[in-house]
Amino acid sequence: MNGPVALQTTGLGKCYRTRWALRGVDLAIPAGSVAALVGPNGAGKTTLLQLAMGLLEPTEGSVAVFGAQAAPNTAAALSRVGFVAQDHPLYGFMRVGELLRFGVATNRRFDAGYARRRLEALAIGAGQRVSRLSGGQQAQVALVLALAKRARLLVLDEPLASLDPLARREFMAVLMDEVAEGSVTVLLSSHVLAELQRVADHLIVLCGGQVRLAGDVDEIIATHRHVTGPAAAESAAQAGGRVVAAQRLARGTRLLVRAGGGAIAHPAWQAEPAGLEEIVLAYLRAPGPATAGRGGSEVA
Amino acid sequence: MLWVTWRHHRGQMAACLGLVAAASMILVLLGLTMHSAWSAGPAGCLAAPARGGCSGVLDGFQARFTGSLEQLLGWMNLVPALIGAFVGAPLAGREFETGTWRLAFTQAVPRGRWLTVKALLLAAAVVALTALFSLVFAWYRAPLDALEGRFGPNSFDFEGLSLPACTLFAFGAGVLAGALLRRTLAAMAATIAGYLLVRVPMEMWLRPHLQAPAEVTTPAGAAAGVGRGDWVLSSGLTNAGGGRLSAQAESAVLHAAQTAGGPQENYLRSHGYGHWALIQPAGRFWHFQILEAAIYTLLALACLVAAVLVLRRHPR
Repeated sequence: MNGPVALQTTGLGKCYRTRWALRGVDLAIPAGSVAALVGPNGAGKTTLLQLAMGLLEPTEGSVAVFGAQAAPNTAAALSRVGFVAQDHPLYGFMRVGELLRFGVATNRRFDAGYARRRLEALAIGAGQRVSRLSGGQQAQVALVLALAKRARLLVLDEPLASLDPLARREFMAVLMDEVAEGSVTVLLSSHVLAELQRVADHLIVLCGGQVRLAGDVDEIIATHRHVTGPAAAESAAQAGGRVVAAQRLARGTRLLVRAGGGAIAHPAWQAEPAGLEEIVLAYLRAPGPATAGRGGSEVA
Repeated sequence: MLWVTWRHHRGQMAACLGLVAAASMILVLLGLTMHSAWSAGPAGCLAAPARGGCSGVLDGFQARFTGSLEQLLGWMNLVPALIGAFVGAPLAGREFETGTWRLAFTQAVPRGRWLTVKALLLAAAVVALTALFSLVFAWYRAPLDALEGRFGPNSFDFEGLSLPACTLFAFGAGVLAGALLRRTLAAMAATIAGYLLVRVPMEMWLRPHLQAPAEVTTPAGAAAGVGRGDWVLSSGLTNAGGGRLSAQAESAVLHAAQTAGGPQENYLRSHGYGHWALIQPAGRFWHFQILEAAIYTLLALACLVAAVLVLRRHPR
């Protein structure tokens, strides 16, 4: 991977008492990208994001944000990242305007003017009590609060989970406006890939606390192929790359293959492009996390 | 952070202020009655004692003003615990309970500083409030203190530095409990329990021994060696040689004095007995106040430092 890296993890692991929620995670998210962290519930997404934010201490390994590894809990390090936690926690007893004042008081370069304009556009008044806002409005306020921090890395944990379809659309619109304007890197998680597919240019598939797949979205699509052919000649297909998933059909086998460079030469095999969702599902279903983990680090 | 602290805790501060104001008002009203009764009788008598002594006047005054109210004052010892539970425990506890710790600790204020600033500001506020109340209380009880001294729990615990220092400790314990337990209600319960666990032994066993007591011995019939404001830890009789009598021997002597008839002191004097007492002299009041306040303040600081370390090392 070339270019500056916004978030890098090395051998990252987190153990709660006796259970490893995350282990051996090596990631590098390029600066300026919109990275989607996808995985089923309990995959370790929140743990990974909270480790990235310094809200959790890693049991092993390390996290670096824009190359700065040391002292994650300092004003300088905290200024570099913006965070919207799962369920977008806010001080419900405050009014919206007071929440902005809180932002100004606890940040170095909080852009209150920007936040006010954004909230005005969303028809959320400064005098409104936060606890009286709808779930969608609260999510918007939390996002605006994080954006107004003017952080270089924005981390959103399941930002869309509690929102209705209309609120999701509005939320993503505000977010994408910001991405288009500035040089902010976004890392957002979801257990539904479809939500993020349109906006993400980088993808991380997490399952069972390990990275199954990570890389540039276009590259992932370009390197994966569905191939169909006779079961007897499976080894020929494997020569063209690594088999991610195999599906027995009535006549022959359908394989998802990750190309190792060379094309599949065997005449009996027919290749077709694979969709991103199919690829992700295949990696999530793949049995051994060890194999898939290696696949992940290859791309990263 | 000043505004953030104010906005988060202004309700609690208002409640504390209201409580102190109400209690002060009651003390002022009661105090005005007591002070006027004091200057009408006992004060003048003590300045220029009447022929029969002042004991009649003083006993009457004491009987009138040390009734049920004095017994109620004992409950005021829970005030520091309540302030610790309602102001200290939610400081970090509520952030964890409501999930807003993820908001608070991802702004640009490092969480160690966040806790330090908030805790110091709130500690200053509760110390100032309780110190103010202590001043009102000391004024209120001045007449009774002149009679009984200031070492009794109803004086010592609420006058001088004791109340602010205890409150500071309870507050620190509350902050630590909130940072450790991460649930407000559990932290509040732990705060009250922890406070009592320190406070009760401090008062019962440590306070009398903060300084070695002075021993006073006087022959029977002589002028009393123990002053009005002195704190008597223990007392008894001495024999002719000056040695202390055991409890058994003492009750035997007193029984004999009763059987002999006549004033008890006369009997004791004629048989060579005397009195001994272990006391903390009234003049040691401030010395004791400062020692105890220093202990509580150190405990409070230890709690706050521990809370900051807990928050920094184990954010979750």
